[in-house]
Amino acid sequence: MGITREQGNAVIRNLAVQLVAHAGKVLPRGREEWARAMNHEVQHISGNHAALGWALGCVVASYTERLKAMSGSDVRISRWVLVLEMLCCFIPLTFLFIETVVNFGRLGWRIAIVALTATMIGPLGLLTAFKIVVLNRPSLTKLATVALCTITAWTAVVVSLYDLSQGKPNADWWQSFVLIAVLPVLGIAHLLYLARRPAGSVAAT
Amino acid sequence: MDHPLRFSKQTFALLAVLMEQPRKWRHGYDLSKGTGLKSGTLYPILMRLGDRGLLESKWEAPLEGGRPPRHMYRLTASGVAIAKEWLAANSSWGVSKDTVGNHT
Repeated sequence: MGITREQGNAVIRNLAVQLVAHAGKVLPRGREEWARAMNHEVQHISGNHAALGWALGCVVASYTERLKAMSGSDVRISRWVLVLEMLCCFIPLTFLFIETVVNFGRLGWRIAIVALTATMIGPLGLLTAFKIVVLNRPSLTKLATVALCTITAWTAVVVSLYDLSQGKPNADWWQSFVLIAVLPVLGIAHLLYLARRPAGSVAAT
Repeated sequence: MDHPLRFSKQTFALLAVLMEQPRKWRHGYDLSKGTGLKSGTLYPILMRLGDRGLLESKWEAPLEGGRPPRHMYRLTASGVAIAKEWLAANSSWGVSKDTVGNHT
């Protein structure tokens, strides 16, 4: 026993209405009238598939507006909180970098090079954070931006490949993965976002 | 009032359709059909034009049958002036519904 055509149409129509309602909730403050407009308009579209297409577009529009509202917001975090965040993101890799330098002679040169390049985002991230957050000089050259992104991506790749090469992981594998792959990525992403803001607006204090 | 810096081809298509009958109120779905723009593209453009004072909107009178009133749009006087100027300056675009295509 399958779904009848009428039941299918009712499902599609209901989905369209629910999607538009969701779009209305996602729209930022001040767009309430547009949320009502989307909601009312979909109820006047006779074709169920057309209504669903309209509703999906409304969801896209609402997330577009929400992201625009968020990127233009003036929320500023305390400088001390930013410093703490950057320490959490980059200190573990910095320790690994120092350990690699100290043990450079004992590692095979290929492994040493890979380990150095994969951990250098630790000290580089700390230096960049010092410049942007502490010295309040948020500008970054295009070259610096590209270099930071490349090295961060390299770190994530190396750490992921290393974890995969270990075979069956232990229960705590994710902790080291978060510390030395995920947190530096988030830290760099936040620094690059702060670098786009005007000087003086990076932090609240 | 801010003079818009530049319009996309999608905005051009919308302005062209609105300028066909500048004083006529149009529904969102009608504009979508006329321009070929999907709601995901159309609504942000309508919002931008509204924010800049180039577009005005109103709710149609309540209908019989329980269906909710629809939102309607048309260009303001300044919107018409700027649209005329901009359409004339970019007439080489010659954007039609087929050119704009289906954007969401």
